[in-house]
Order: sequence, then C-alpha cells, then structure tokens
Amino acid sequence: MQPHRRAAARLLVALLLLPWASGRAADDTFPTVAAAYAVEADGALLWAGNAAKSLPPASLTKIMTALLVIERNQPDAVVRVSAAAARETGARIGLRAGDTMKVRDLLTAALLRSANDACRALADWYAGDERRFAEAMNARARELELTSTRFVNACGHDAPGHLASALDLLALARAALRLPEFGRLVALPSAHIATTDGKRRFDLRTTNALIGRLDGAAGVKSGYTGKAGKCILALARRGPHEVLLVLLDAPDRWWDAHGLAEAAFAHLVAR
Amino acid sequence: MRTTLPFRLLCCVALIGLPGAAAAQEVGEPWETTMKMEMAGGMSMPEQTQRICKPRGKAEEAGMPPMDNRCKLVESKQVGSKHVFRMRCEEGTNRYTVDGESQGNGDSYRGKMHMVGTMDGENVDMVQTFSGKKLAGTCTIEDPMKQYKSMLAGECRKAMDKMEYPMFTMDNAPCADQKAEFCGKVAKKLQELRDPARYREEGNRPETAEMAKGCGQDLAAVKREACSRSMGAKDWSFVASQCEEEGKALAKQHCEGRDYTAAMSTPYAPICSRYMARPKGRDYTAAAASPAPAGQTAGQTAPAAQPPSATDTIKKGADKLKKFLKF
Repeated sequence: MQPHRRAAARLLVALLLLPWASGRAADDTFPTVAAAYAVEADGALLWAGNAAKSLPPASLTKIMTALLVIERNQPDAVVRVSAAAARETGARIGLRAGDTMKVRDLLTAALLRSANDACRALADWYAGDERRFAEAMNARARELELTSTRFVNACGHDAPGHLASALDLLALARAALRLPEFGRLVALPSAHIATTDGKRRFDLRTTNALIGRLDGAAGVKSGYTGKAGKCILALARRGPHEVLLVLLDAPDRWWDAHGLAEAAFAHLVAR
Repeated sequence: MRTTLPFRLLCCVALIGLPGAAAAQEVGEPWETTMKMEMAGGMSMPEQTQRICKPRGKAEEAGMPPMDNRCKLVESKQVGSKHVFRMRCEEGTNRYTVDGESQGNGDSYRGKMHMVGTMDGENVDMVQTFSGKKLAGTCTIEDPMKQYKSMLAGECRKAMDKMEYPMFTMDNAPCADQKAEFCGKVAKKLQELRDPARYREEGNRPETAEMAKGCGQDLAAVKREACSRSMGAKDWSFVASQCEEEGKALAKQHCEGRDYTAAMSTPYAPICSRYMARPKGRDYTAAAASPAPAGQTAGQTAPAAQPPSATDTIKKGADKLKKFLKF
C-alpha cells in the first residue's frame, strides 16, 4: 500500500473506531443469529445483541466449574465418582459410582465431551456437594464482577435462576483462558482418558464442531439444553489476531459462529 | 513496486532540469548531488543520489530560491553561514509559502525548503532537503536533452523490468514509445495467471487490473480460465474464493441442507464456508469494513479491490511536486 493510501486507511480506521472511543455500545449487526450474542475482536467488543441479558447458559456453565477446579491446582488428585455424579443426565461418558479418576481426566471429559457425570464428580470432590459448589461458583463470579450471572448447579442444567449474560460469559472465558491448562484442554480435538485402575478407557471427541473446521479455532465450549437452546462460546486465533464470541440460543450456531468469526477476522484485517 | 513507482517517475521528470543550460561539450565539474522529499501524511521520496556535470563556478546557485512569476521573494537574508529566504507563491487558487535555507561554498552545499499551503484545493506540507559535493577531476557537459534522453532510457529499462505500468500506459507516459513491448510482457504475465496458483498470488492485485486495462487486455477472461482449470483440478479453495458462479452451484449441490459438521468434513468445506457461514441479518461483509464486495466471504482473497487508481495517485503526487519544484 502506498504511504498516502496507508494514511488514508489509518484515518478511516480512526473514524471506524470513534464509536468505541466515545463509549458507544457495540453494534447489534446480527440481530437474528441468537437470543443473545457478543463478538470480541482483539479484546474489543465488536458486535453484540442482548449481550447483558441473563439467559440460561447450558454447559457454558462448565467454564466456571473448570476455572475453579484448575485454580485449586490438584490435577493428579484422585476423585471417587459419587452416586449423584453417576446419576447425572444429559451428556455423559458413563461413569459409575465408585469409579476413580484423576482430576485432569475428569476435566478433560467435562470440557471436551461436556460430560455431566464428570462435571458433577468434580463439583462433589471440590465442595462436598453441588449446592456448596454452586456457592463457590457464585463467589468466584462476584470476584470476576459477573453481575448478570448466577449459578444454581455445577454443569448447566436448566434450573430457575441459573442464568448468565453473553458479556459475563465472555469475561468468564477470558479469565479461564488465562489458565494454560484450561486453554490446552478446550483446544483438544480428541483425548483418551481412563479410570485410575486402567480398567475403563474413554475415547473422547470434542463437542465443539468448530475445532478443525474453522481456521484457527482454539476452543472453548458448546452447550445445549431445552431452555437454553444451542449455545457456543468460541475462540479462534489467526496470526496476531484473536476472536472470542458467544452465542446463546442460536439455532444455526455452527454456521453462524463460523461466519461471525470470519467476519470479525475480516474486520481486523481491514483495519 | 507500487511504493517506489511514483518516485521513479518523479525522478524521471526531475531529470529535465538538473543538468542546467550549458553549451554542448563544455568542460564542467563533476558533482554528486542528493535530494530527499517528504510530504506530511506519509508520502516520501527516498534520497536520490546522482552524479551530474555542472558548469564551472555555478555551485553557489544551488539551493537559491527557484524564482518565477508565480512566487515572490518576501525575505532573503544571511544568518551566519546560511542563506535564509521566504517566498510567497500564488497561481490561480493555489497559495503556498516556501521557507528555505542553504549554505555552501565552492566545493559543497546543502539546504532545505519547506512548502506549506494549498494546491488544487488540498493542503500541502512538504520538505525537500538537498546537498551536493564537488568531486575530483573534470567532466564534459553534454547536451542536456541528450543527457535527459539517456537517463530516461535508463529509467524506462528499470520500469520495464519492474513492470511499472504507469510509465508506459498513463497519459503522456514517459516511456510511451515502449508501450507495445511492455504490453507484450503484460500479455505473457496474464497468460501465466491462467494458472490458479499464479492467479491467487497476483490476479487480485489492483496493479494487475490496471496493467491489463492499460494494455487493453481482458483480465476477466484470465480469471474465467483460472476458474475452469481449478474446477478441473478440484481446487475448491480457489473456486470458493474466486469463482462465484461455479462456487454457488457447488454450494447448492454439496452444502445446502447439510449440517455444519457433515458439510465441513467434505472436500467442499471451503465452498460451504464461503456460502453457508453467513450469519443471518445484515450481511456481515458490509459490517466488517472489508475491502471485499458484498457477498465476499471474509478471510478469502478479495477480487480486485478498488483503491484509488495508482496512475491517478502518481500523477497527482507528481503534479504537486512539479508545481513546487517548477520542473
């Protein structure tokens, strides 16, 4: 690009950035992609709709669960699967009461497969029971200033008052992604785990369909419940650029997340 | 190439006045001169160094105000070893001030001129710095026109090598007499671009389009051929990014109605990504401030972006500098 054109481009970018600089909210450019959504490009909120509205977050909840467990920093601790965990419904890997598994492997199952049995086993190990774990989740949410978020359970089941906003979920994901172990796990396309006695082995493939299909996809977490609808919180990196986005209740979450990520990268490149 | 092009052109134009009006075959002094120009806003001309043959005893004229009937010398004084001057210039609606200073002796000189004002309705702010030093020995001052032609021929050779199309294709192009040869090279290049891999590299560059246009050649036909070849080679990535008609047909056949995981796991993933990953609502390409036209999938090469014409830009820059320097 010739220098004077570059100068003109810089001016254009400055004009484009003006709304952010003046504190204006991000544009709701895609009002129909989801009940709520937010797209961050290189740390700046780019597009958002209903982003502060509290909605059921489904298994995006497990980001908080993982955050707490990883922050405890006992990846090799052995967890005995509780009866309650073995009874978990929805997505599960088929853990049985009494199975023993390392924290790291349960985390892998909870994040890659969104396994509720693994998630609940971690919650029970961490706090003794799910109610107390939810209290720990809410305490951490307050520390992170997630003001539109309240957790009632560990794994994202629909429940009265179990809610989070798109903006809070982005902030939560940012906090979790600062933990290298979390970033490593959510980027895995697949993994193999086993009970500590080695008798039961599990081959896991990620539920995040963007991994391996969207150029630069690097995590984070999908979710679905009847009330929450289809949800996705996704991270993608290309060169120096990073896009983090969340869609809550998005009927075409994969196509739309893919398209939004492409659009956000195009925006960054055009800047 | 695009960055240096205007300066080569300017250099070419500037050569006209450099040797000075000397009698043919006069014995002169060899000088090495440098000139650098910077315009506010980023455009700059890298330092140009050349050896020229000046008439003996004329060194002191270098750096003196370039007077003509457009400019009025409003200040001229000696400050220490420096000669400082100010000019005010008017020409039509153009108004500008030139502040200059120079110092030197019979063996060297240096100085600068700062011009601020408006030209053709636009603000202009540029600084020219210059210097010269006498070299040992003598030289023969040739006919300025002959010298100019020789230098121009050199510049045209460089421009031909670097495919600097405005030198051949713009109005009153300095190398217009070699346009046929240049366009022959363009035709050869376009022939190469029928290969999708080569088209991907260069087909969407604005200068490629301008080059083809300047030579009256059909870049669209080249693209059609590249698309045809990419269909044959099942290069779906190229089809997705460059060939809308073929891409849409493939998307309808292989992507439409399939879920994301299935569609994106096929070889047609680039096509599906291009045509299916479109968030509902306002088309995202518009919001992305992308140079791509509406409908262009982000992350793909934008076909023929439409920046200002390089030829226009160069001419405009050259005109401004020429007015300032009175070439």
